[in-house]
Amino acid sequence: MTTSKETYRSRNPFYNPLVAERIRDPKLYRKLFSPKVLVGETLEVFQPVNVVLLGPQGSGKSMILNMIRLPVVAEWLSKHNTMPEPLSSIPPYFGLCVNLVLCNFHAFGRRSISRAAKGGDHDPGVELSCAADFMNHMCLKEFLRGLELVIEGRSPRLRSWLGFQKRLHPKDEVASTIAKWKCWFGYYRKCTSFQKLKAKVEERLATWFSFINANTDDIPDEVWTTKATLGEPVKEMGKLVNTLSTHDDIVPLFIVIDQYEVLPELNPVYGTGLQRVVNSLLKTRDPLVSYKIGARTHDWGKELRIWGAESRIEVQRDYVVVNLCDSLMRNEDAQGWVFPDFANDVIDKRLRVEGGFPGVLPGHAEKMFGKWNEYEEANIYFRRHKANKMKVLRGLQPPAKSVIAQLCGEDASALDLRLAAAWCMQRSQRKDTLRQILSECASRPWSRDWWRKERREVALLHIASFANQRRIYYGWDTILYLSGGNITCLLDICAEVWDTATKRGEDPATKQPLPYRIQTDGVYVASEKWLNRDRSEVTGSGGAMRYQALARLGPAISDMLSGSLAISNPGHSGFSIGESDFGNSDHGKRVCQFLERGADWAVFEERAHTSKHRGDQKRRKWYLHPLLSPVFGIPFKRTKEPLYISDIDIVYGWFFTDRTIVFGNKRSSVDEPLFRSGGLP
Amino acid sequence: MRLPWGKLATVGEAFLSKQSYGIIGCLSPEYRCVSVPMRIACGPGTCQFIRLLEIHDPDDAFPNYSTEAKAKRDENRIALDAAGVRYDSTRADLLDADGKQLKQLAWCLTDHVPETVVLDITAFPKRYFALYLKKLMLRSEIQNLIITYSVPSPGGYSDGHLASDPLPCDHLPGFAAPPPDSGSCLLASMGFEPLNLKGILSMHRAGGVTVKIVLPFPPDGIGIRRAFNSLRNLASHEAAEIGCNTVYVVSTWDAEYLYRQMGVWQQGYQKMYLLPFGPKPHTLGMVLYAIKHNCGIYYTQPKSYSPNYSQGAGDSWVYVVKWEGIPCYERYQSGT
Repeated sequence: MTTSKETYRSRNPFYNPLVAERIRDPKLYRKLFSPKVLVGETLEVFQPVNVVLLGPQGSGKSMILNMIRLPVVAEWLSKHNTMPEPLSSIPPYFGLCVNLVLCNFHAFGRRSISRAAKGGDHDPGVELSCAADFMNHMCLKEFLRGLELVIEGRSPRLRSWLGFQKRLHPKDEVASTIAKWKCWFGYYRKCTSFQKLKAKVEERLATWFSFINANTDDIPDEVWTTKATLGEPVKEMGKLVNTLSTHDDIVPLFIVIDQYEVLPELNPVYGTGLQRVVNSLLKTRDPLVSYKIGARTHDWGKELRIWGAESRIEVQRDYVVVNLCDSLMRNEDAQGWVFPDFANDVIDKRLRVEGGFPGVLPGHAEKMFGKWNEYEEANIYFRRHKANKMKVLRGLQPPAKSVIAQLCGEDASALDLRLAAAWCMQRSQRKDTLRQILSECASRPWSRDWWRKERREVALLHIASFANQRRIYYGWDTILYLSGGNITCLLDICAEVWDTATKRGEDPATKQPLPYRIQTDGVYVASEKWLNRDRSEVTGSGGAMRYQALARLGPAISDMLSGSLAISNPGHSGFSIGESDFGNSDHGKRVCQFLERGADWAVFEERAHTSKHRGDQKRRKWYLHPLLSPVFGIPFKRTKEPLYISDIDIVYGWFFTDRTIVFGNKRSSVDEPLFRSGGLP
Repeated sequence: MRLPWGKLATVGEAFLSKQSYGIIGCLSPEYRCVSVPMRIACGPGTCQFIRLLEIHDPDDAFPNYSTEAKAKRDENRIALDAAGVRYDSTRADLLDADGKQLKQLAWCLTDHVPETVVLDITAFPKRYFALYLKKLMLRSEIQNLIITYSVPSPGGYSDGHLASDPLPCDHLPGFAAPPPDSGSCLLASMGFEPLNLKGILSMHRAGGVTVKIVLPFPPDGIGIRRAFNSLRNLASHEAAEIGCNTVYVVSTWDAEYLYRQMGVWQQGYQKMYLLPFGPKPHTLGMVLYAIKHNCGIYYTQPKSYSPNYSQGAGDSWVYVVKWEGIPCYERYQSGT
């Protein structure tokens, strides 16, 4: 590897996270896409059923749905002669994509067609029928693009995969067939060639654009009288694909609908009406056509009615839900967690493709970040002044201090000392006498697995604080935890660590592992940026408001945990709310909306919660996203039990008032009588 | 393209002195919004009417400055009354749909459509003035259209955020376009607030789409620093795409130069898409270009504007965008 340091800096392989603009380039997509995410139920996206793919921002929904687009399939087949391994057994499909915002579907209704063009009263039904017509013709435009790609012969492998035979179906003949479909009401009757058909579609779309843009107040009769029934042309497209294909089995038509969730934000009056138009497509349940919709987790389900009727689309009947969180977020026992493999693969590909390091071997990421060890981390804080580690016993009376020091030994880790001190303080809070406490110390109860595991994170934060330092973050496992199962977070962390390394003169491509200081500094920058991103880049969903609330809540959680030297409630980095509390009041509903939107934008992390109280209602627990933990100085690993919220107004106060946030029952261990200087029971 | 422009006292005087005109403007919390009505209502020519829109941020904007905004707007109302300026005003909402905005424009021209209209864009949000400019340019009864813009007093921009709580990326009313394909160019003008320009670039930059940036060159160091900060924020994750050869510096007031340069920058690209995050005169140049060349304009509309957006009022600038029925972009200098 001869690349200079300057090149490393200017060619950070982790910048440009895998977002929509890059993945439209099929070549780059093929090189960067990791099939490791296609496991279990995510494969259902490629089955002939309507699918709603849910996940928070940055979790990889677009990346998966992009695999449906024909140019991407063509690129894959031309290079590998087969689809990526998990998809190799999936039957062929004809995929196209409609981005509702890019194609301006959301603009319908903003300027009343019924009033301006037809001089009548404002009629929502007319507005939506025009939107439906626009959708029909937009699908045709994308369909023609796909057909051109397949039939024209630029991708013989794609043609063969789909079972199309060029000589049997000349392009113009196909165009004539499409033009004659009854669903067009004669609009395309004069289109005898593919080019003419394409031009006529553009003309129709331009007519709608012209009205939307206020260039004209009129819709020509030719358009007005040939409005197609929603979904009918798409059914015809599905049939045509199967006529053209020589495969015995059905070749389904997949249509990816993108940006569904922003319709109500961009069009407050007609947004949900437009969503109902899309819902109606799902309701058609055509065996030849399936729709694939990507949406942020909590944005789906707010409007399930179809257009023109009160009936709703039903899960399992009209569509299935695939939730990426189920695959990518870590469960408590980490079983079946696919994110590590996925992350490893994504980083390897980034290094090879974007970074230009062809020699990178699988598993490079793990070596780049190395391994984390709790003792190693604890010792780093007092590396230069080892004697200072006794500071972590602060708050204990001299007899207790000397007993613990003696029990733990001269070479004791600061972590053991801190946990031992915490244990003593906890017993003191229970009003045990010093004698009782010291006698029990002999069995080193702070070393018990669960007790220790639950408190380790907070203890490390305390140790960093006693050493007048901020917490250190390094190691592959730590990076995975901090990413919270979100591939964008992972790439952001990698980008900042890479950048920090090159600024310090380290070669991030070969240095294994990168020094902990570099990793730590990179993590803090990524954490700060993740917080600021919510304010400045998360649009239309209250990012600015959330930023203000987080700026108060984060420090409050940190204060509570750092002030509790007994570490009595190590799980109080999150909070748990009863399900019924959300629906019982306006405050509850606002809190629910605030938290759900935060989860959608990967600012909060939501998990189902089984209450510790028998017979308690169903609860949900909430944490700040792990990547926000460094900037606020709170633990990024979750332990039991979260703070139980008994009154929803408390949480309402955190988010919607200026009141100072007191998180939990703030009680400092150093105030316990036993451990005050000179105090003995 | 020939766009006469300069200060109100000179260019404005030259073009308006023999005209009978109506002024369309905005009564906002910023003091500078009263500048043009005060200066020309009793000034050159005959002012037939002044119609001002009071545009309010939505109720769910965050931060919600409605109380402070109302107080400041009332102060401006008093200032206009004290100066003896007669005007009509009506309420409008920042996020009003296109149809409603056009209704408000119709209200501005109720009773009589004058031959000469002065559109004061000083305090108009972009989503209003871009549509109004287009409609007024295309309206044949309006023979002369003059744009005015007043700057705050020196150093008058607030240090904090000027605008916040942006909506998702959307086209400005009247400027929707089909999605960019490869071979398109995205031209973004930079301002004090990045307002998720990064997000727009992400959304619209398909493979093969080029990004170019226009940086304003205001005559004070603070302004330059803020614009560069916005650029740095953008470039921090777009290092490969944004370099010296894709960033252009254009004088803040020179809408005409920007328009001409856009013609140069578009060479070799099938389509140009515009992202006006910079100062109003740059937006003016972009909107004129978009009207002529049918370009899409995209923006992340902030829902909340600081009531302390600017302080005081400085010079007012004038741009003669249509004269004797001929739009500026249809006028050519001799020899060109």
